[in-house]
Amino acid sequence: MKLLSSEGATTPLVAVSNFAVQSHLSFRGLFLWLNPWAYASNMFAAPVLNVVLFALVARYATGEDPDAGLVLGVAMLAVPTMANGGILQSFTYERSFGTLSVLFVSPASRAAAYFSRGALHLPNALLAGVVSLAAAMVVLQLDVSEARWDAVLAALVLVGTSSVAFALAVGNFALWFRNWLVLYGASNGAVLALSGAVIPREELPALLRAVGEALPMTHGLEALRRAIGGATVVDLGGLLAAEVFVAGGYALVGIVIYRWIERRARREGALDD
Amino acid sequence: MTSVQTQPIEGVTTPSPVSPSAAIECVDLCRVYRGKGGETVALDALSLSVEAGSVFGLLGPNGAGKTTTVRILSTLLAPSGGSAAVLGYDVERDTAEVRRHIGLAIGGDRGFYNRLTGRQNLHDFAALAGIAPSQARRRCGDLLDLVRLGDRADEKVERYSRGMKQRLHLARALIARPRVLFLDEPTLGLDPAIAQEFRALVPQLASEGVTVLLTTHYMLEADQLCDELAVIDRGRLVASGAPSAVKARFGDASVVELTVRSAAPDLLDRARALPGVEFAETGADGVFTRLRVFAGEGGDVRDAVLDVCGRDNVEGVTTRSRTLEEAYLALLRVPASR
Repeated sequence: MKLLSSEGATTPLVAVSNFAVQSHLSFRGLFLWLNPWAYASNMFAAPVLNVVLFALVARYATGEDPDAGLVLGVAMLAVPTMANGGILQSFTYERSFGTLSVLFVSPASRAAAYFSRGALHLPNALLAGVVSLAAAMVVLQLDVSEARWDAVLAALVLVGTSSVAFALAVGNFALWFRNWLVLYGASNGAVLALSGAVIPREELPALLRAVGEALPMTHGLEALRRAIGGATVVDLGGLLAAEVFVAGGYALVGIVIYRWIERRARREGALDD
Repeated sequence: MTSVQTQPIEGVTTPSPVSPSAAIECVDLCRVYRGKGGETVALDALSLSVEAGSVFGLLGPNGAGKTTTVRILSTLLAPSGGSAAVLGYDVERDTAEVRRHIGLAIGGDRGFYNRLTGRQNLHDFAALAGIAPSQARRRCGDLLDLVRLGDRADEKVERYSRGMKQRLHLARALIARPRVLFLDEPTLGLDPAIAQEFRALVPQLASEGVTVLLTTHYMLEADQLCDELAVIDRGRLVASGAPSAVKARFGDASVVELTVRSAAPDLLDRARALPGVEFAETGADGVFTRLRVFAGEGGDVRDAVLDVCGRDNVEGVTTRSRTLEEAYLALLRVPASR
């Protein structure tokens, strides 16, 4: 066999294929919940138990059944939770497994490498949201009789997209600090407290409400609640656009930070251990 | 490893802007690490030139700056000063071009997705290198066979031995058909037979036009593989040239080895104090003591050493020229005076 010989140049089709390969292999290589027990407990048991737990707490605190808005909010928390867990693990282990140097010494597009680390976490997070929503419908008899399913789907997909973009941006810090659990707790806590999932946003102080505006899920969740109540995609245009804007913002900021980390790592020799 | 036939290069991907005879060139390369404990100078004005298609060895003790040099040349680390170019591309300005033409095998247990198989790990890097999946499948299979991992290719890397991982590092470094290959301690941890097969691969790469820069602790490896080598210590170049030239720097510097029946307690001190002796050491040799005396250039210390030991007390004596390893150690002992 020859050790050297020239072969074809990279075409857009090759670039897309290689993005798929990177997405698939980094997902399998870096997502440590990807074993039967861990996956089942995080994908199915945790979201269902979360919904039930919040419903019981709400019933205990108020003496009444939780309203549909709270049930939906708690159910949708499964989306950012799953995205944060998977993506923050990926970034942390990329460094601790020593594959980050391999990536940085390659001629690969950094944008492709960066976004491939989140690509399969999107359907994963959406599945967690669907499971959670189904649990709310079955266990807590969430009323969906008025729901506009196309609008529900649009809101769900956008919540997933912005959650993944957010997790990728935060993942940069996991790369630097090599500790995904602290960032996982902080990210989930921020979304839980400030997105309106559990605490009505109008009851938050102005500053925290403003922070919530910039978090993933805030606008998409509101759109989802209205879609369950019968609002159409057209009715929800503003909320959906805001969620797109948040996702795009995190995607842009995230890739800029990623490139900055690579440059800083080269200067300081910082990402070797 | 699989026996492979040497074949000529059949074209390379992108022509370099110039056609330098030097594939790698460093001029006054510096690297300073700054930490809480202050500054550490890892490279101190290192200059070297590696001819295209040659095998170049970088020798030095731990902390000499070998890995730092490789990391700068492979664009993983920015130099603090000086300049370096690979195939005429500046490692600071033209990082993308440099990366397109190099392969790097850092070695060790890390650097892989341990939950994936060897084949999948290679596929991943092929994707990073921009190789089309259909070509990557064929290329991965060929390289896995080449490094004798073909029958274990579909096992998870977490089950690989260190030697297997080392071979996988090499396969990965070759996947993008590099014109310049950096091998950092490539045979560390390999059993002798595999290491020897690994070494057999290096001349083949060079014969196909690949420039190989390898770091090593093993003098025999450097002597066997390298067209040229550089010895560095504390970030500075101590000596460079062909292995024979490095040895020849010591001219007729000789080593006198004696087997002494009964060694006096001050034997070593007295031997070291002799005029013309650069260094001396003792070791056990069965019930006897082995005394090894390194003379400086042109020094004939045989008779003087015999007198110190007592001629009747000497079981045997030989005088020979220095091995590359001894020349290397001598360079590290007295870099300033050489």
